[in-house]
Amino acid sequence: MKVLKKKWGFLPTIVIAMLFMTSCSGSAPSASWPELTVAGGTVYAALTDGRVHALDADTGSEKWVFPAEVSKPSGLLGCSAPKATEGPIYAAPAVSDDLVYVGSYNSTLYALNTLAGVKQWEFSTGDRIVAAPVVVGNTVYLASADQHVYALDAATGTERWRFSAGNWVWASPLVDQDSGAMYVATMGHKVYRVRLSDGTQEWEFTTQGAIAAAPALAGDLLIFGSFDGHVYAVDASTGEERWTFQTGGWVWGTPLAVDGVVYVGSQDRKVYALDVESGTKLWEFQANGAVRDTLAYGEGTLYVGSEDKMVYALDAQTGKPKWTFTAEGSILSPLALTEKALYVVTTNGQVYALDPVDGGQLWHYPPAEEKK
Amino acid sequence: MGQLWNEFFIQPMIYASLWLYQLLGHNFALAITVLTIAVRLLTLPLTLPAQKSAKKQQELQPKIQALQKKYAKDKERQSQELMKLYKEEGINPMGGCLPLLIQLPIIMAFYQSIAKVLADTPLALYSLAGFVAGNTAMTSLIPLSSKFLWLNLARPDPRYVLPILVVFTSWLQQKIMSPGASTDPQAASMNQTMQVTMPLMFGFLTMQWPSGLAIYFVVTNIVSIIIQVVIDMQGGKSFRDVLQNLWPQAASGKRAQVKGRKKKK
Repeated sequence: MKVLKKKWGFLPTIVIAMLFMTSCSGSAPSASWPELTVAGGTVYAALTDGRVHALDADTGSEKWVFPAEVSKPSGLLGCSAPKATEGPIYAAPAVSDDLVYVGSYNSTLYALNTLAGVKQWEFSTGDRIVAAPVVVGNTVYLASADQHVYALDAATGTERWRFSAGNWVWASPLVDQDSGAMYVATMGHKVYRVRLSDGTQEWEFTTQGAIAAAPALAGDLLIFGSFDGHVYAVDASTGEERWTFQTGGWVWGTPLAVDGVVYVGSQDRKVYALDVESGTKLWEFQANGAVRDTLAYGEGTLYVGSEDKMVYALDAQTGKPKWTFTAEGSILSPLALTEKALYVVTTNGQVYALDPVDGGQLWHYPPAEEKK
Repeated sequence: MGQLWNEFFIQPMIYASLWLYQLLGHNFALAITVLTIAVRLLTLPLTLPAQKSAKKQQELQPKIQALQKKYAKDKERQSQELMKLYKEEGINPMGGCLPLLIQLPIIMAFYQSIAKVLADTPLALYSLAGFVAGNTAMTSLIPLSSKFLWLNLARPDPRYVLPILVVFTSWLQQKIMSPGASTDPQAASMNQTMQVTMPLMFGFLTMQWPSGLAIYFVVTNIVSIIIQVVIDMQGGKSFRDVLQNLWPQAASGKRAQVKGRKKKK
């Protein structure tokens, strides 16, 4: 007995160490940045807690949260952080009629009703959903890191067809009903044009880097950025290259094409205004941090969010700043602009509604007393 | 400080792993294996003195304990005698520490670079951009193909094969590097605790870490074991002696059996 005690006397140490490690390993770090969508007087924000918060667009007051429940603290000592029961959600929700569609890192797309955030149906893919779904007519187009883009019935979630992209798809597909085509950008360095009716590939275009954001259409040109630092303009119907423009960093955002000008941000901390026909640089603006997918345009003003925590309102003609706003966190997510407000979400999950004219803060979520 | 660390340690490691990935047919598991072996061989001049010093100190344990016992009441004399012994045997008691401390940043940087390169979430990839964005050749390799056998190298092993291998190789490495039972029962008990607890803890952590990091752990353990066996054999031990240190009871039992058979004859 004494020998046994001596030999296995260290067992309690192991058990205590294991208990501590299983219980206090802490919550997993955020895998992505929060994103938001504004529709029908509601801001739908997928925040750092991995949940969708529906906020009143005028006041910022909370309407509902999905999932409403989070799991109880886990671990034998009960000190792990609570987790969202439906998997973390970071991609911007998509809204159509009375449904809001949210893609989760647990590989599932949820369709919720807009009124209370109650789940109507769900659709499972084979891997994480990084990109925001796109709703056109009665179809939801869903990109997944399982290398597929799915076309689903918007009302029921029934799969109509799927397109195999051969690599992760982190960008929302661009759907052009006029030409009956969908454009899919992949992390495998390719952009595909796919027939909307049945998901058949029409052409592909290869770059030297991953493409993580959706392309944009400007007339007959398809414009997109790549991690190889280039902005590409290709003929949308044939996939032939028309021009390229080189930036000094990864281009990880959807270009914004307005009135013959393409605006694009780069991780080289710059925003470029390019002539849409030739790709010639019209002006550039230097921020203090990287500019990801964070551009919005309205009334002759280009709004730019940056990793440096600033929102810049620039004169779209000249690139000269009109006003700036400093947030509490970096801005890596697309801005949303309505007639009333410019909505901004930061990497630490703060949502701001700003006056588009002068950058004055209209409201902030979560309210000061809720902040940890 | 953080910028210097990234520039002089992390970035070269990231470039080296990506270069190997390209060279080895876009197989990152192979790239990790080759780079781990290369890093261990490059740091060998720093590792060897430490391992040799530790080994010699273990061999001197009986003499050290005798001196400690003899001069238990006179600490000053005890320390003088111990220093004298170290000098006679050509051991620097601190000699093992410095080389290990020097190689620590290299190992840490290697570990961190693997974790960064295996980025498979938007935030992780965004962080990697800071290291490779200026290099078109490196950028063109992103994102890496992280499939290897049944593994996704960026995520934990779903079949728990790698955690088991990490536990076994960590245990074997510790066992082989601290042969010979200490005469001090307290030290022996502590040694035994460490030999079991540490591998289990590593195994548990590996269950949550990307399997690419687990491959690094397994390979680095195997390299350490091989180095130690070579050191032991250079010191005059046969391979059988090395095994005997690992499983003394089994070895002595076998010897007893052999003796028994000889007697019968």
